[in-house]
Amino acid sequence: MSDNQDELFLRNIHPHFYDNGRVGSGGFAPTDEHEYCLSVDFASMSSPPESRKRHETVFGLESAAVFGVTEAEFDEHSIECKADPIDLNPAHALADYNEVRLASRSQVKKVARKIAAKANKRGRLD
Amino acid sequence: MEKVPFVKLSFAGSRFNGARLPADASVNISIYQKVLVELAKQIWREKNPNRLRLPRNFERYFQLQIGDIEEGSAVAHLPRFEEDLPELFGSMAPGDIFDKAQDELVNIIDAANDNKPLPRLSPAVRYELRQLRKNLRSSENIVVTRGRLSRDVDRHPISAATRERITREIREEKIKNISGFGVLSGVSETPPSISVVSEHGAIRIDVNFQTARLTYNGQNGRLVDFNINAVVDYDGFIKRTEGVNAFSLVKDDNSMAKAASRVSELAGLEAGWYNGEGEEISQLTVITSKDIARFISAFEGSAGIFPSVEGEIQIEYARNDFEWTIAIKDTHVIVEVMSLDDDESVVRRFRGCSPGLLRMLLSDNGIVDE
Repeated sequence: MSDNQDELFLRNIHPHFYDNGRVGSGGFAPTDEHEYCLSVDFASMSSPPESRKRHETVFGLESAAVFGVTEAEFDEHSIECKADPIDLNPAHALADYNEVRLASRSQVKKVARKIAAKANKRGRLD
Repeated sequence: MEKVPFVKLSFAGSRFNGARLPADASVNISIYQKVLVELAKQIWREKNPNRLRLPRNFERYFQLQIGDIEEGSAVAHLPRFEEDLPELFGSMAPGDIFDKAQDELVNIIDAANDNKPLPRLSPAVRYELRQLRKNLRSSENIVVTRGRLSRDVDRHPISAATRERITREIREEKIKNISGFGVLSGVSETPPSISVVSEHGAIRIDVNFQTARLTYNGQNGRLVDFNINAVVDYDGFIKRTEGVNAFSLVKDDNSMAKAASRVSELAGLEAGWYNGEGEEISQLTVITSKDIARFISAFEGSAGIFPSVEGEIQIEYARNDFEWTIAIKDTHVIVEVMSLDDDESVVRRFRGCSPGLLRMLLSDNGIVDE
């Protein structure tokens, strides 16, 4: 975890979870497949357009928009953010929902709604 | 804890002479407390529209105890005990709410005795009110006297006639003019009629065969604008339609058309649509979602419509400082209204596009009297 609670983390949103200018809670709900970790990028190491471009062109994944959530906002729900640099993306990090998952799977969805609400309030970054 | 004189309930009738209070009649003391608690809840909700849940242990702060039974007819002195209160209660302390609840109850009794209309009461208050005078004979009364006041200056009798008037008023049906929006839910040709779901209840309107066939057939799920005269119950729910003043299909505006088209788009998702995960969305889910999405988009243009990996369609939007999520799978609809300031939320389940669902969607915070 970084020491900077103001650190912003960028999340590329799958087109199905972006509609009418909003990100859906599904965009912030990690699944079993991803071991309840969400892929994000450190905003201090990558701008939103850079993050999106890399997501689409380097990794060949779809992104309809980029939204941001601060470390403090994740932390409020016991979601730890840790650096996870990978090939071609040194800004990569993981938001770990496993602590939330221990409560229940429905709690993961509930927390995802709260996180998505924060991201929607901040607005689309790219 | 401080003991505060609160109310005296005088049981009048020969059975109560000599300060006797038969056990079967004393049940009215606990019913009286229940009425007060329900009134207190109603007052607290009105004073705290941004709170979704009652404070923890709410009822604990509204306990009456039997102090003593006075000579003469049985007069039960019921003090309440004040204790330190949590800040959770907001701007009004329980003592003040309890006093206000007591005053409102006295107003209700007086209105019934004077044959005047009753103030608006929640279903829970009405239920408890109907229980008052349980196990009492028709000649027996309960007289309410507040706080330290004497029975000579503060007398509010609950007689058999009082209860009858309360019950009659609560059951009374009225003809009311109702206008609003609803969802066309059915078209029948034998006999020709159409059905509409609205927040006021279900509406059935007779039409001629040609209109049923040419105007409304195939239009289920469309929004309709209506103005009708209907027989309604105490809560304003429609019992039957008496006359139609105006009725028309609402032309889909941009956001309604966009919502319906977004649902159609999600209907085409194949299993594994989200990186190998994600169930297909059933036809029933699509039909139910279209009706609800169209209705919501008529008043909430910023709603987003999304699939979930479990095969639901979710409609999400922010309104009145609350985050609203409507999750639809087949005909099952779950509405969650969540406060962003704390952990409070209201969750309710419905089957399809029902009057209860529309009432909840049109409420300020998801809380509706049922």
